[in-house]
Amino acid sequence: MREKIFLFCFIAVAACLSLLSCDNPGAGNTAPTLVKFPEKKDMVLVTDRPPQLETPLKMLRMDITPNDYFFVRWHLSQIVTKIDIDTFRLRVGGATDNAVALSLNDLKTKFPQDSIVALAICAGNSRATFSPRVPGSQWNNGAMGNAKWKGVRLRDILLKAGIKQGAVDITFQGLDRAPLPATPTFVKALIVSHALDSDVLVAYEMNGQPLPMLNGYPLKLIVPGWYATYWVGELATINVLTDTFNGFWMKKAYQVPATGPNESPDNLAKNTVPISKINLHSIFVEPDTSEQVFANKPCLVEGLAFDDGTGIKKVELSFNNGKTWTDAILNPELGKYSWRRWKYTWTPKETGIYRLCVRATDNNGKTQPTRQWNRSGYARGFIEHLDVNVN
Amino acid sequence: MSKATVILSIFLVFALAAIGCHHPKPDVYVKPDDTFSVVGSVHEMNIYPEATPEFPEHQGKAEFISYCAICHSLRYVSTQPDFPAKTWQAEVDKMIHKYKAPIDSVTGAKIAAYLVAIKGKK
Repeated sequence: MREKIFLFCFIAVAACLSLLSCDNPGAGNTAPTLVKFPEKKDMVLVTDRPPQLETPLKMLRMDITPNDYFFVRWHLSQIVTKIDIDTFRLRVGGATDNAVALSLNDLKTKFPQDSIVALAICAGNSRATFSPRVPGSQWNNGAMGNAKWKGVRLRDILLKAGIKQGAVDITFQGLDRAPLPATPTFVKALIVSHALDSDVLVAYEMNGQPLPMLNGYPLKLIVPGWYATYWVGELATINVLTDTFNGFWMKKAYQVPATGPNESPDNLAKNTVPISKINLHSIFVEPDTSEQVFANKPCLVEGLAFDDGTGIKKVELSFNNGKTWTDAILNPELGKYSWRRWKYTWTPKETGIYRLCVRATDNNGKTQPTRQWNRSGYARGFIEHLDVNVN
Repeated sequence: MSKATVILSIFLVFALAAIGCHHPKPDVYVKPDDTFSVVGSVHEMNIYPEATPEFPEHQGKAEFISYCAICHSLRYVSTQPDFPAKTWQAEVDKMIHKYKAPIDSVTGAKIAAYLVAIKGKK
């Protein structure tokens, strides 16, 4: 009997300890609303119409983001939810020698196939962390994901249609529409020389699977090194123009100051340009606020660094609010347009609150600024910090 | 009461306390195993359900709900932080002038006032 009671006590103690040591966020943390949308697992709900879903931070702790955890971002709420792939066509026209209409099968069988690992990151990723706050979809760090995209080079499709002399811009449009006909349709543009760049793909596959409908099935434009606003989903129309494209989503929306994604709330930049390349940035993905850290115990500090394809030369960490810096270990490179994972095993010597900072340096020697703000919350790129309470 | 019972009771109290201060489970509101299908060549996703948050009663609520929800879910607003009145008016103006929402200036002012009432920055 006595042994049984001891055994019971032992189990009870173990149960208490396990409950106390697992996820235990500080008081006042409101749990995000998680949602399960079609072909998706638990995602952070930003908005439901149009669907905007954020990848939970814990799912950013891997090389490749699974399709069912990949972030979702649409602008117009009438996205197409039913596609017959036998009748779907990608139409290429405008200033071309011959307009073409390509089926998915045409793309898979009549063109060279190519694939690339590339980071898709929303221009407004981390918007909710700007100070002062700015209006817009309130993303934390999860409006991004790393995937292996397979498809056909845009260049090969354009060469098949034949671009006429004097072509300037190429536009891209999906099947999504706004409920009101007067709302500007979502159309993005690339200049001809960029569209002919061999890295730009029309992808039909993501991590070895067809794209989830919420990520733009059946086709998505992949523009490596550029913000995902250009990665048009449900891509159905490519148009070659002999003039500069002046559509709303290029000339009014997605603007950043011409001098870079930084301005003062009291002195907004007068000249703006369409956002383009991914800004150099690095973030923490571990630990998060729900994870406990103990003095004299090793703690894995992990994160991601990324840029426009220039490449990450080094990532440095500070455990004393930027007074001293130490190099993090970079994981192997997965491709120039992939994010780069980094890690460091940290053993804090004393209890207390530590302010950790992370900064990346690219292959041109450029590093991150200490402060940045812009009215739209785009292209976050300044040195991030993380306050860790060591017990 | 035996000694063993006392010990067991103490442990039970600790266990319950540990459960009580445990991480609140996030609200997961859709179970959609049947919301996506591939039948022959047709890929289809069901229209996902919308979960409209509760909004406080205040003048302009009716206008806010009937106009803003034409184009987007009202969660766009519930997920925003508090902003100064100038920012909310600029957001309403953006919807009218850039996205062509069919809202006249009187109604627009009512909607902006409602937004300030529920999410205005003091």
